[in-house]
Amino acid sequence: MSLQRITCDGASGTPLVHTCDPCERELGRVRGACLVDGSFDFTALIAALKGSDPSAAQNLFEQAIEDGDIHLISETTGTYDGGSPQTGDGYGDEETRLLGYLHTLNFKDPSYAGNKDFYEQAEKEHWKLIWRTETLLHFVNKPAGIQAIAPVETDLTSAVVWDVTATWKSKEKPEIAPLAHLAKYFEGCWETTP
Amino acid sequence: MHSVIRSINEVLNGIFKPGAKVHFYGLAESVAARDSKGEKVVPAIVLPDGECFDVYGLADMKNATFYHRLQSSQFGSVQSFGSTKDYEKTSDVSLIVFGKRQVYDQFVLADTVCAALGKMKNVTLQGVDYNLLQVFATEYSGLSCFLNPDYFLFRINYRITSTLNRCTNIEKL
Repeated sequence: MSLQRITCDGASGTPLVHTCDPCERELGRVRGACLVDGSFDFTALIAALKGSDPSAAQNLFEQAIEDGDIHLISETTGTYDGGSPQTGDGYGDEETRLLGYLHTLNFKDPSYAGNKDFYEQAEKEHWKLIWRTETLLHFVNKPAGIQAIAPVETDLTSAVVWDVTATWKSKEKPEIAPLAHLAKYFEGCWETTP
Repeated sequence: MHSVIRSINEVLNGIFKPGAKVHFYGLAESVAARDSKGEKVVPAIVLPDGECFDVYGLADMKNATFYHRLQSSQFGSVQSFGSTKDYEKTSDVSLIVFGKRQVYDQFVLADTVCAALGKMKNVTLQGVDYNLLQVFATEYSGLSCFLNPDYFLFRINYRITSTLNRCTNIEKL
């Protein structure tokens, strides 16, 4: 009989592999975003994005938009705070214990005039999220609350835009997949035709 | 740029009574000229075919002459969306005003013109330079001031702001 240490989250025995990339650096700005229905499963879409066939990912994405599961906001500017740690009482020698993260995604949507109803409705529900940086898409599989405001400044040259803040609690970090297969959808404006 | 200057000229034309004998030119450039007396640099309107005419050519027959001089343009970043970078272009321009003291008080004229410019979209007033010697020196480079005291000369510095973004048409040259 031997004594074995028990750890949280089944991490025990899982090999940790750090990947070092000496060349590539991902550039910032939340350049586009999607509000995704809470029932939508990202698994197939992420698998398709990591695959070699662009049309598979495009078909899934377009179908989800047509079904009303994904609402695309193609061009935004914004930030993601990476999640701020939420800690609780520590036990034993721990001073505190990590309970999870409070994540905040903020983006500005320049399409102001026609989207009052959209954001009013969006605030009443919880959404999964997708957002893009330079070459990557980021997927949040937890329901996020949305707040959208449109402040007006005094500057004559300032633009009135929707300032959207999404917050969610999760221990998990957003899933990451390459943008390439869906890059075209995040340029310019798109609309669903009947 | 040219469209804003055209608009400015239209607005300024509107502040004068009909038959006021004032003349408005667009953007003048410095043109080197040579005659029997030597070489000089004069402000002139340059036509697309290269023909030039001196903006002061008709000045004696007019009570006031207005023309514009582009000093410089700068670009600054503005809020952008997606992967694009949008810019704001600011162009510093001077409105040169030459006129007859017997007809207009230059300070009243400057205030009136500034009031009109100040109301225009995309135009920001920067200041008025009443230093005749200084204005003359920049307009007639290398010449000593020979302006008759019957005339005034001043410039109103203003700034034109425009945005360059994805919706800016790029026409083939």
